[in-house]
Amino acid sequence: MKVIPWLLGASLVLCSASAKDQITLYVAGAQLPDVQALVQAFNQVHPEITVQVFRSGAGEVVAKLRAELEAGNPQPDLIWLVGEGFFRELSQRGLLMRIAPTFPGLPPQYVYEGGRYYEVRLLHNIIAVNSRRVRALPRTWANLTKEDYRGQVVMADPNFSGPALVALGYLSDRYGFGFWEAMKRNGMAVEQSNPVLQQKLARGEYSLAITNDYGVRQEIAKGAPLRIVYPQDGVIVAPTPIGIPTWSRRPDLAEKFLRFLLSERGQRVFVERGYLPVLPGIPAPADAPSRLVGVRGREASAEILERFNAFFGLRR
Amino acid sequence: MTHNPPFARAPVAAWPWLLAGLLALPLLALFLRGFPALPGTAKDLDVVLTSLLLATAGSLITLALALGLAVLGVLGGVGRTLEALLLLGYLVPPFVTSIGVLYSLQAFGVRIYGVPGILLAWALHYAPLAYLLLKPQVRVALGLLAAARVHGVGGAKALQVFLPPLLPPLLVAGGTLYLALLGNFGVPAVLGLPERVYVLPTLAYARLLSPTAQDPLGEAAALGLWLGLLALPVVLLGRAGLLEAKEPLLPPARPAYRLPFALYALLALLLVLLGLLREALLNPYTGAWDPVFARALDLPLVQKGLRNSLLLALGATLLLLLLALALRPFPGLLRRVRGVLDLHYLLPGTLLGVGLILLLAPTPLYATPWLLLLAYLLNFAALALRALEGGLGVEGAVLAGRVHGLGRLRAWLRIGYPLLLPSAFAGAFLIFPLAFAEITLSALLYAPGAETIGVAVLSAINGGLYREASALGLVLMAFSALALLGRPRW
Repeated sequence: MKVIPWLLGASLVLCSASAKDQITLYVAGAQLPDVQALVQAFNQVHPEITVQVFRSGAGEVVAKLRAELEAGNPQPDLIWLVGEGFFRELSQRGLLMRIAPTFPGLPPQYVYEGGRYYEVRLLHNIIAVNSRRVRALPRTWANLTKEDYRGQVVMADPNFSGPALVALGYLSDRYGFGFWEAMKRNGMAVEQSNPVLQQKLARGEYSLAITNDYGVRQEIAKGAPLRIVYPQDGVIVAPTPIGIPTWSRRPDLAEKFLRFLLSERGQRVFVERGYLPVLPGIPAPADAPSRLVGVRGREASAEILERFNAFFGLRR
Repeated sequence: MTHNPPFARAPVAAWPWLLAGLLALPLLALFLRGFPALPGTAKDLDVVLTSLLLATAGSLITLALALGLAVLGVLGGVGRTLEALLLLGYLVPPFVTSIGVLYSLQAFGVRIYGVPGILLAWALHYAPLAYLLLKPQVRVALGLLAAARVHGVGGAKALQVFLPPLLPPLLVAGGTLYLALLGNFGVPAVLGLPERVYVLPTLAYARLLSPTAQDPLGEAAALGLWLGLLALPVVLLGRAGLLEAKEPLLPPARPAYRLPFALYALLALLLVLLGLLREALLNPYTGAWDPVFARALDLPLVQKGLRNSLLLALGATLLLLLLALALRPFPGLLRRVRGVLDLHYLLPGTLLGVGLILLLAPTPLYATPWLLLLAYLLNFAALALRALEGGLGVEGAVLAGRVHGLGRLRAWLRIGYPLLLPSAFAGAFLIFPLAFAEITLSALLYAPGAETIGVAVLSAINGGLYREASALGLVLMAFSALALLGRPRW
């Protein structure tokens, strides 16, 4: 039968993926093209290593990982999220491998728990503005509750998006839950994810957004009529830790990837994708301030999230 | 009269049942895990209701649209080319239809997310299917109507002639549509999720990935059970046999009826195509010419998705047809196995997907492409078996061969199977495109490195890569158009 060689060929190709030097990366807080750029640059240094990627919002990545842990079959060799909470949990359960913090020039605040996980780039929450629709720019987060912006503000769903969960945590800490009550009265919308919201903002469905900086820089580079406002009451730094779990079958390869991200070459890829670097001496993205002083945000607590969900009708 | 002692035959008769039971395991696993979690879904009853109402409303709208098209088509004597234009809409994967409609209407400033969008995309996508199911019966009914006219029946009374013979086929087509819409994941995933309009398949998917769910698997299984419950009445009704009738005497075709038919087919296609083309070819901010195809096809996820989907679809199609051919000489076995496999095809894919996760998550099969292959095999097997079931003449021809001294195997190889080849090809053209653009099972079961093209497009949409998703939609559409070239005579 002629089909049998076909089938054999097909199964060979299907199998071949698992035979080589391969690691699996679970990542949030970066979009497909960003991860692609990083993996391609990594493969120029280490062409022998295949990197499989599962990318989604932080909420989904954590949920997938939890389900796999429950089934006793966790997949990733590298976990890279937005928000520190899940990493603390993994670290407490002794599930994170310590990597010696021997990265030349890396400031110590980017090494967590003595090297169990790391910060490899900086992601900020900022206010993005569609400049065709807004004349008077807001200056602070608190400005967003003004009557002028009624029905024009949007943010991402904190159940799905890591940066949004950090923004929810920071602004609730700083202004109390009353801030969100005022935002709701002012007609704030909640979209599923930051990249989707940024598309809609750029196309004029909304005028202002509480969102991440790197995605907005990318759209500006494509010609979108967007501007970034760095609020005076605090540009929010969302921690985006990365670490290697103890169950990894190839921690050696995973460490190579981590070391690449913290190399000069890796840092330059981050800058090209609109992120701010963690290594000193690497120039920031062209339209970003050379020194951006942010305040470190924390994810909202479960209580705050539940309250927010009930308030904005996000029960799923 | 002699007969074999019953116990001597028992083992032979038992193993088809055993096989059928094995094939039903995913559904059993779903039931066992989902049943205790059922009380927890009390808060989701509104989604159960939404699913039921949307699928019902969608079926009725699509049915009305298809009936109109079938009448126009028959009266206008619509030819194969024009029909192909209409059918293209059905060959395009439903989620691509949704993206196209979304962006086309956006160009006119219309937001079409949520219920209206879902209903519109469903009607556009499934009307051609209902058209195919209804057309032969509409011919018969119109023939009767013509006969009635000759005998002086006109006006409202004519409807009494026209409608009754259409009722059974309308029920069959309606049931088919209802099952398809109830289990459809792609359209509500694209048009419903961004607005948080959930139906059961998308809610089960969201639950599996929800960080706040207490028991994601149990809740997804319970939602699967609800879905099964909504589908069951229609599955049990089964497919009534369509009326067979001789070619009726129709009044001569009037080309005037062809115009609205062609207009609809063209409009439906444009409604999908315009938005996709605009997004894929032009920079949305500057309006400059900036095709995005190269960038879309350059994404590793897309390359992997295309390769995996191609291999999975080829593998599933070939394996299933071989299996169907191998089972074809044993009608008793075939019938029992198909009983279960029919369920996997007719019941929404979410049930099979969640069932397979429950059954296989702790095994090494999980997070490999093989899990997807297994899922595709189970889901599409009924189509392969049905495709080869026809051809009663085959048995007779094989028997004739055996009378002339051929062994059983040789009789099938030399006489039976060659006669079945055209049916096998028709089956392949049915299964391959469906498997290639599969999304319900893939979204639930894919693993990093084992993404399908459907998963890649869905990721692109959820990751804000609207333009890349549109370009891929166009690529998939072109692929579907190729399948049209191999269209058997429906």
